[in-house]
Amino acid sequence: MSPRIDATTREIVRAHWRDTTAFLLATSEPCMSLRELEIARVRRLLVGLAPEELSTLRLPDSWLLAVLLCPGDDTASLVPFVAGLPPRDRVVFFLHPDADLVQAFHAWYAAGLPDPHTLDAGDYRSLAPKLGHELNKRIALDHPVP
Amino acid sequence: MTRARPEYPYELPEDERRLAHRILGKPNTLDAQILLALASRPQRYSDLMPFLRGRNHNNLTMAIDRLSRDGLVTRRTSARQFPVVHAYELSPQGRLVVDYMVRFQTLSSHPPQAR
Repeated sequence: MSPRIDATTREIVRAHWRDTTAFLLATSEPCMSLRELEIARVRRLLVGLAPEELSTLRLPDSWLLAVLLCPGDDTASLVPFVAGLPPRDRVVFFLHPDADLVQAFHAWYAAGLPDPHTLDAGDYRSLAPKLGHELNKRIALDHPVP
Repeated sequence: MTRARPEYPYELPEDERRLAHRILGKPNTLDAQILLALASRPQRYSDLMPFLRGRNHNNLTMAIDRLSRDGLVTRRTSARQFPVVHAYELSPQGRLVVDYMVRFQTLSSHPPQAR
């Protein structure tokens, strides 16, 4: 995926990147290492999260929740948080190729939530540009055209 | 806080209008075909493969990535049971762009008669 974005979005992102927080939720390895690598290397407003922090999370006006789903992970701790949110398009799953999705999303579907928005990301190289684009889109959607 | 979106498709915000014209400029490209196919319903990757017409699968992957990066297409995963199914659908922004494309093409094919 190329890093190109259109000129309007670039302007909006330049003006507002500090106003939008991307929360990165990871539960197990290798997703936790991937999360740390992303936070260390990418100069954006990225905040690492553990599942137990979701219940006390204070959300800013503009935010995105990126859930890194690795083998053995599930969505049980995420469901109470997401179920209380109207704008579920702010929650994006990045799927490790070895993750068992049926097991992972069992709690998700049991809560009556719709099919999730997903992207594939098994390593830093695939995660970084996709997360960057999702964050850019979220910044552009949350802020009016200058 | 959401970005203001006009109701009338001819008044698309500038970035969406530019995207629509980029795609309309080459109406036979994969991008245009994928968008128009998604206008009716979400589609799986395999549903979109006939548009390749013998070209490499990588072209379809790249076209979907491009549309996804532009915010026009999102992927939903149905993981209720095996096999897990990924389906692509138009985002609200993508639907605006497709509406604009369809109206623009209709207008181009049937221009209003001068009085």
